[in-house]
Amino acid sequence: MLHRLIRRLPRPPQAPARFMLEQFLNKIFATAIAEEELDFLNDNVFQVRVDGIPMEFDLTLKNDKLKLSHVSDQWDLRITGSAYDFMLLAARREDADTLFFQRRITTEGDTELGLYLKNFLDSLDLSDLPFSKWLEQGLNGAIAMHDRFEPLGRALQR
Amino acid sequence: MELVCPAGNLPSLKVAVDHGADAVYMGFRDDTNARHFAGLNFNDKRARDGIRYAQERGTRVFLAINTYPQPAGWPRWEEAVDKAANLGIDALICADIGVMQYACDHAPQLNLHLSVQGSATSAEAVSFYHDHFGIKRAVLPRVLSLKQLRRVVSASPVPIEVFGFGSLCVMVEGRCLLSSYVTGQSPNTYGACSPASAVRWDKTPRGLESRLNEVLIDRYADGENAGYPTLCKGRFHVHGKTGYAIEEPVSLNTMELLPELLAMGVAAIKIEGRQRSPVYVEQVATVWRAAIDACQKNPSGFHPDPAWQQVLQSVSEGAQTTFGAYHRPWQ
Ligand code: SF4
Repeated sequence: MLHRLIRRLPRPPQAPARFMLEQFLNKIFATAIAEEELDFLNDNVFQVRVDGIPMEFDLTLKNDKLKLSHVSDQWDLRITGSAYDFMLLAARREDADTLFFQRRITTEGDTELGLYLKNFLDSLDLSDLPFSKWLEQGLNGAIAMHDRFEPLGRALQR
Repeated sequence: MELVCPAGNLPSLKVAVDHGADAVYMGFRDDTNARHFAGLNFNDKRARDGIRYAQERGTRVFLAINTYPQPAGWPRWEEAVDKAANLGIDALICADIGVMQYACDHAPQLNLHLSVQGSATSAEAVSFYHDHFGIKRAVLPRVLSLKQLRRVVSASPVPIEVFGFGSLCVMVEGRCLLSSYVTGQSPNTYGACSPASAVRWDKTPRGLESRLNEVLIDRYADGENAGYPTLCKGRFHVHGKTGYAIEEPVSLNTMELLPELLAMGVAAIKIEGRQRSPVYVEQVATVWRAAIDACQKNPSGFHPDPAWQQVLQSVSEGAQTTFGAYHRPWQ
């Protein structure tokens, strides 16, 4: 539902959104970067594609900074899924392998890189992250909204 | 009957403790344990924090050093045992007789559990480890039928732990060479079956393909549920037909058999899945805690709640479950 609504909106320019996301990721993962926990992203390009909404980017680590850029063909690992499923993952409401078995997310390319990323995220103590409360509330709010409106959206489509 | 839950990282350990695990099991960040996956497991600080968190809340901590030391690596296994002894864990899960001997000689205070990788499938084998290394518990491979299991439990000199839920190894663990055959690395030698560095997933017009060291393992049509790309769960061309010749993508689920396992005297139920995320551990620990409590209260009237089974099925490989070998009528 959420992504159907968003799809109808005029497409926002991606660059400013990417810039904001980049700032945000560098903030919340500052400690992890300093502790070299994200070194597996050094010179490795991780491509994210969100189905249904205009959100896709390449992510890498350069000089101890996470860098987001426009999608290229030079990725090492590509992960594709819906905005809803990515939110479930981020909010720790679903297990990555569960979504993978059910074919809701797909990874292509360097499987070991994907495993690094998954295990890095799983090992984070969310309460230690900056803005963790805010992030949790935001994610859970968006998930709840989707859960409420999804049946309605499906009914309207019939 | 105890519930033993997997902890691949600190958040998983905490949710397992908080959701009713009697014990958790973990490993260090190297090939000394059979979940040697990129970014998984505990460094020294996290191990210390995790052990404290669990023990303060009355949950015991088992540590797996359950691979077989390779010729060049023996000092790593020694170091791991020394570290485990200093950390004050409640038991060491091991498989290799050299590691067990080292633990007996250098850290005699450590309780030893025989790992599933030790491949003991008879009371005689368990007795051997008990007589020589004083093991306090044995974890049995997932290849025994209920009848065979009953025989082992009744004659074993030590309490027996069995797998209750999770991804299924269909061979006698510790004796499976399928992963070595394709990748040169296996749980015994490297700490992982079908290591991720050898795995490739490709979206193709014919479906989602998984390859292990370039060998096609499976091709999933749209809408077909997937599993881990292990050779045992691959599709093979046999007698003119293509299908799952050994095992399908599926997880083991013994919840319905709980009353029988309890009656025969199984001491602990082990949940597989150190490679899974904290939410899996939380979901699975919660339903198994409820199931074990319900079964202990009223074994004859025990029926798994459909909602529990639904949770277990949804997190399973291929989104389906099996009794595995426990229900082999011909044995
Ligand atoms: S190939 Fe299958 S049976 Fe063999 S170790 Fe791997 S998962 Fe277990």
